Amino acid sequence: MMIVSRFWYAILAVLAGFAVYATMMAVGQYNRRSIVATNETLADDSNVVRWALQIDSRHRLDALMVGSLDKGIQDSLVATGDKDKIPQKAKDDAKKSLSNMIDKIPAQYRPDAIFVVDRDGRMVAEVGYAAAEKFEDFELGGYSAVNDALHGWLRDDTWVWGGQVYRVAARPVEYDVTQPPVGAVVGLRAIDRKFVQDLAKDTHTSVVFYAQGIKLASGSGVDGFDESQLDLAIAELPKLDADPTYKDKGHTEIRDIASPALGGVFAKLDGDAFDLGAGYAVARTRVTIPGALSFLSGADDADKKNVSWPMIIGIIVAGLGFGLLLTFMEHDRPLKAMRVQAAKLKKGEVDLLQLPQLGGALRDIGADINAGIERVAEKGGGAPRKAADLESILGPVPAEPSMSAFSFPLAGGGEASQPGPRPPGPPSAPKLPGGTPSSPHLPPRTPSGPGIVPPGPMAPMVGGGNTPPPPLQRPETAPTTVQRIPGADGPLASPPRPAAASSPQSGPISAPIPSVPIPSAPMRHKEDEEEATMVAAVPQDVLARATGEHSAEEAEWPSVYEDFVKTKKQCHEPTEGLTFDKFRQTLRKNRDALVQRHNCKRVKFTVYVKDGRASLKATPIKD
Amino acid sequence: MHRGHWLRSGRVVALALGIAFAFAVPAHGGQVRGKIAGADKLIPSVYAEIAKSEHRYTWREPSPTVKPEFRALAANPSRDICIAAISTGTAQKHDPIQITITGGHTVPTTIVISPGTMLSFVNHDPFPHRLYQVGNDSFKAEEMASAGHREWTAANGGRFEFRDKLFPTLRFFVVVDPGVVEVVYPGHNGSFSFRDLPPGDYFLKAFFDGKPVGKPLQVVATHGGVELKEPLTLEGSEAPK
Repeated sequence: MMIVSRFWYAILAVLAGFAVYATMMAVGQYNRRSIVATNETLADDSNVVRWALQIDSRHRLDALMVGSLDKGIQDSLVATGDKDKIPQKAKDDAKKSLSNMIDKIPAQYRPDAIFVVDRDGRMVAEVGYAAAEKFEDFELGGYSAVNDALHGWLRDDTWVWGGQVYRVAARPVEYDVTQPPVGAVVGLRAIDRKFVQDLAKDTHTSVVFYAQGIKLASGSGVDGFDESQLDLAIAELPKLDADPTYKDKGHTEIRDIASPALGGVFAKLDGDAFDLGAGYAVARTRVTIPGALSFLSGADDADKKNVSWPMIIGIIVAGLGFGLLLTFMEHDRPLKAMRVQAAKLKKGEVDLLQLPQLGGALRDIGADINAGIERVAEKGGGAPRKAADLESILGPVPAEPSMSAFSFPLAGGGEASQPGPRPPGPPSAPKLPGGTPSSPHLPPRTPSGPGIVPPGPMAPMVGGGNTPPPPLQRPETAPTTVQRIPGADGPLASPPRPAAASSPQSGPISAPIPSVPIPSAPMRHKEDEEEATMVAAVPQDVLARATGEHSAEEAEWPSVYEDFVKTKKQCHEPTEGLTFDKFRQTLRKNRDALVQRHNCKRVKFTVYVKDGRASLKATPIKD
Repeated sequence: MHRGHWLRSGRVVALALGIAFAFAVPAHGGQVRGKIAGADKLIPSVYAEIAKSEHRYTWREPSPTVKPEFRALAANPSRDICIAAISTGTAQKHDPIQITITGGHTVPTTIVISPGTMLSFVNHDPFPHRLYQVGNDSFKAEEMASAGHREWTAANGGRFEFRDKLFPTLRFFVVVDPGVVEVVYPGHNGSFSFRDLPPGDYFLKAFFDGKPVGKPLQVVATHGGVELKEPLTLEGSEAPK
């Protein structure tokens, strides 16, 4: 029935279903984890940019130290004193010193513009911001960073001048440690595209700076990120006014930018720019997949390289091989055995299929085929093919010789039967009229007149069952011979009862009749009291012996005996106590009965298997 | 009368303002000289707030070579402390006074004027400003281009504050007092001088962040000049720690 193979198919189906299920589950989990990871990264990005700006300020403050310690700058600031107008010489000296000093600052931290202011905050000199020269009284003293620097503090700040945002670093210029600082140097670095790109690369982020609702510059240090997406962040700026977190804490929570596919965090720049709407936004693309197939379509070469093809091929080969193995064991091998049996049947090596060689459903099929062969042979009118089942004669008792019985179709359409346990096999058929159950193998009865005794087929009889057999119908003129194998324990089996006595039906039964083993002793004892044993003896036996026919016939019996014992072993039946003498004695008795009954010259015994048990088939031969 | 750059430095402020306000008093007035004390205790509110803020800077650390007493964010007398000579009578309005906007603040940051005096705000930054009067929509934030100017006239007495939408450190205070005759701004050493104060009785008051600080000092100006024996003591907020 290919049970294991089908179970394997079920396992494969379950595994396939589970794989689909797991993949679908993986989509949701992947998307969820991807969003969480992206959000965490976004929060980190915002902090990283902030820290990078802070560190950058620190470096810029340190870089200005060369200006604070520059002798020329110090002298020029001292020269300004508390004068109403800054001396031109002091301005010139300061500018010269400033120009020389700025070249000493590392390029990475070199300011775009640098100023020197006196203690009132008035500009003494500048480099890089010529527009300030337009006003003689231009000063920087009002800015908190400069005010701090003039009071001895190192400060950074962020200014917004005309829409341009500058990172500011200011530190005092000291001339006499017993006096307050004489002035300060102030460096400005514009937040332009280069500044932002360098920052983005250093921090591996995608960041855009804005001020007063306008984009300043953007840059991305994330591979594969479309920098134009940062422009979408600028469109979100008007919405930030309604964000209390942004107003109070200076940064937003993680939020969608234009769509859930793009997340971002907005943060204000620390400094004066904090109140001026200047800040930056970091953004990242939230990578999600719409469905399970996207795992395949979205894979890149790196993903494909990570696939362990040997493992996949191994799984496929193992699964396929195991399935094929199961198919071979459960399908091909039994079919091959069936093919061998069929070939033997075709060649005539066997008359029927050897059912023990078949397995599973093929055994049932073989049994049906065997039954069909017998039926065809019967209809063809050839020599009687029905064999008596000797299994119950020599059969199944393991250590002790067992009772045997022959069952033959009786003349007049009756059928032989005997009491005893019913063998395992087909279920009991509905009872016939008169309370007699019929076998499901019984063929249609052919009406026949009294006295007509056709050579009906011999029904194989199977012994060894425990179920008491139903009483079979038989004519009075055709008693069933029931004999016990010599040496068997227990009381002798009761002789067969006349079938006609319990059946009103007359005429032969052309179908084989299942053999029935000898009933148990108590039952047999009871039946002994109710029914007479009928033993037929024919003088022709003596005659045959005289003519030497039986001698030739019995010469075949050792080989039959060997076949029988061999077959029983193959069927895993006990053979202890089954001696040839007992075997031969039984065959003689049954042969004599058959010769007498069918008026034949001899009887040929052959071994066959029925329902998994060794049986003997007796074939009367008239020629 | 001088218009324009009459507030160039604290050291000359006294002279400049004395000339600027001389129109309201008879000519040939006397000189009143004095000093202020306690200016180092006055901390401009804007810087005090910023120093405590979490979002105004990422680095703020003291220079180790600057003495701690110098690190106090004390007011700049030449910008932040206004000494006003207030008479018992009613002063006439002054000529228009220029207030320069530059460097993240105005110069000066506090002024005391008589009613009707016009202030002219001039932008001396190379970028625009958006000055506005706090709590008064009549002087809304409007863009002042570089070198541009706006005027404002004090109608009545009181205290007025101006700020800039684009520069949060800019806070300008105007005190309108009908008795204000003349104002001066001390220098870094705290000395001040009314160069031509008409003879008469005055109270010298110091103003900081738009509010009077310290006790007024009564003085009688004469043609011969007066040297104040006691400093004008200022009382204000404590320096930030």
